[in-house]
Amino acid sequence: MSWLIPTLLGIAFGITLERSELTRRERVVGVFRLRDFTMMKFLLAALSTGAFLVQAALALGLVRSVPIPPTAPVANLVGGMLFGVAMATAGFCSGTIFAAAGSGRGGLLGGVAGLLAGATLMDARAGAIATRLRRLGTRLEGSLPQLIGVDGWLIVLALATLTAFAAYLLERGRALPGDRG
Amino acid sequence: MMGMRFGPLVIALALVCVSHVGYAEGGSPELFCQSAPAPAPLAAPPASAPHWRDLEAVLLLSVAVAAALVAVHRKEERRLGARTAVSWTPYLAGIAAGVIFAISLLVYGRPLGVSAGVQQAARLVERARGWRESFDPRLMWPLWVLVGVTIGGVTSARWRGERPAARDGRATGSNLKSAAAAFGSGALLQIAATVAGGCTSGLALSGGIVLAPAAFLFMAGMFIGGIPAAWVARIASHRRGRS
Repeated sequence: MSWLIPTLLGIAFGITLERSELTRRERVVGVFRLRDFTMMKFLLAALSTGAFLVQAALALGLVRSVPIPPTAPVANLVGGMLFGVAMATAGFCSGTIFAAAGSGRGGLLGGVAGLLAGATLMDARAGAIATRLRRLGTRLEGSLPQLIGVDGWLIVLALATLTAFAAYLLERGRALPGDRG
Repeated sequence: MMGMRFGPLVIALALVCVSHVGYAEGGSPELFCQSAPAPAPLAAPPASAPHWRDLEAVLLLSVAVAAALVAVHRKEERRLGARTAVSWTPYLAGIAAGVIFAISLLVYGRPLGVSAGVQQAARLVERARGWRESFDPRLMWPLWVLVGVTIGGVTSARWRGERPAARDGRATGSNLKSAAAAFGSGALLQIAATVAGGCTSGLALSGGIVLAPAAFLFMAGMFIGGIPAAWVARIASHRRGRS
């Protein structure tokens, strides 16, 4: 039964992606063209909520620690840039392309094939590039609070403020409540 | 599906190309979401801790409640005679996603990441091809997440009454050029995710909610790279005479 929980969580995540129309190409490309900010709103809301819940759980003692990805600054930044280029041209990311399976959008099978090919390529000789990039720069372990010495709640507050401010900026031009994005 | 004409051809070509790449074990670094589960959070539970079994019951109960809400929604639609293709505001969807990611991380100690699932699927194929000797079944978590995301997306689209029709105008799968373009950018997407250590869900969201610098660097890079790329793509398509 170890497949049940991740599948359920994935189903829930897929529903949120599809419901906010992030599976559509114009929504993903739109944020990079600074026209359609749906993805940014989604990301900010998810970050604020999730970070709040994690901080609360840590503070309440519900969990001792959470898995934190190590930071390889050069790899993260360069990989992020490549990812941004790919996402802006593709109109999807790994999550949204699978959540778009029911929408009949174009490039679905080609995109999935490309993802698999990229993964196989990296598992083969090309993966050495990635490993070498990850070794560049100082490798940091731990989260921002641990590294900078700032309380986690301050960062949660900063995230929430940023989200609220972005929401204000993006929504004040809205005329109709049904107008999304 | 409209993608049926050229999609399989692209896949076949891709498999042929990939089978000639040459394989060396142990090439790519592990994505964040491949991390084995953290030790059980409540190995030595403090006195006032909630019982995780109860929380699992709550999760399943919420699913049941959601299913009931869906049934009621459908009944209302039939009564009103309209297919309400309601979209959620991204804020609400984002809050829901934040809760989902937090549950996954806090209750089960695993992050949610789709690119890791893609990597696992590729490794399954590699093992079937005989290239890869070992395969750790404990790392199947992200693959199940990927399966779930697919099911969730299909379910949500069906719920909205969307028919699988050509929705994106010119970018239909019956166009070989768009399938090949999707293939190329999909490959770059996965390569970039392997370099960075995850994708938007696996690194940006799962890492961001634990406030890891990697996530914020990744997101910064995403916009630094994506905004000029979209701008260039826009200019290129203008030059070609399309809108």
